[in-house]
Amino acid sequence: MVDWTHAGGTVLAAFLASLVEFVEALTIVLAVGTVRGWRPALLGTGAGMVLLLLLIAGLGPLIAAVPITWLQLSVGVLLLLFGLRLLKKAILRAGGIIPLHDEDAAYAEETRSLRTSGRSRGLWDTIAVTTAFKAVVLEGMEVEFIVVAMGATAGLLLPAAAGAGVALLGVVLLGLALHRPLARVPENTLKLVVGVMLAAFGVFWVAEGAGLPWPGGDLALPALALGFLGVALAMAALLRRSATSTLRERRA
Amino acid sequence: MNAVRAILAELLALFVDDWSFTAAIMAWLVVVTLVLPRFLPDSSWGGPVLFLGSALVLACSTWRRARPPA
Repeated sequence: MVDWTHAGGTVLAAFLASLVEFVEALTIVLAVGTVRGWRPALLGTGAGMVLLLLLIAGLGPLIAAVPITWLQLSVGVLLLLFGLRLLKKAILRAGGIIPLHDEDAAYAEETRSLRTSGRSRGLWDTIAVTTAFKAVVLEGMEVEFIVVAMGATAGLLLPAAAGAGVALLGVVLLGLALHRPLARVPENTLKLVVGVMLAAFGVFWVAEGAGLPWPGGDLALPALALGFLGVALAMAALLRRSATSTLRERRA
Repeated sequence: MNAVRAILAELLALFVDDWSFTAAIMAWLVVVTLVLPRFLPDSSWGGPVLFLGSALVLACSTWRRARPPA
């Protein structure tokens, strides 16, 4: 029997987090394909996916061998560090302190960089293959971590992988249809939501792993997410107000 | 080799990009999971206290990053 308090949150978090990462990887692969040709772009993407599959095959049995309380504690700590880092950046973006992430700007910068870097001699366009490979591996590893962390601790690896799989399918289909970066995906909002969810799961699993019971049991999870969301929105509003009043003081 | 190094650096950066922020979170985790149970007889408060401290660390670190000391 699937516990939907966990399963719903796990699938949603895996889907949203994977969506953001796949959109970022697509931008770079598209830039490589457009500027340097589709052969090295697809070669780098394929090699990256093979490495990711090997990582899953290698790490899967290791994770299964870890006692559940240690798994909850270690995964909880990593989720909390990852989630709070995402959340801090999302608050700073929402508060106007650092610029919003713009997929069109990232695409323009990547194509400019690929155009100015020299072509490799011989059969391989090493720069193009390496760029696509790095993008797929880096963004893919984030997805793998989230899927494993969210799925393994609650025995929900398949639902979490399904959430990531749907995100991958959606991004690939949209990329094939549009042939340009998915700039309309509200990445900054999604990153804030993902940060909230990962931080909530992180706190929940750390406490579970340390043997600290939650009042309300599994219902603490949505309460934690609401708590982190409240802190994030309040901080973003505070930063915006503070920036506005500083601007007024300078003008006066 | 450079690609492998870049991937490992990015992997670390997933969890750590501001060492003082990471250190504060880890210190709070140690306090709540190892120190607090010795002084707090009712362990059902451990989870909420962990959340409150984490939220406070997040708020303070974000404020500090947004308003660096003059």
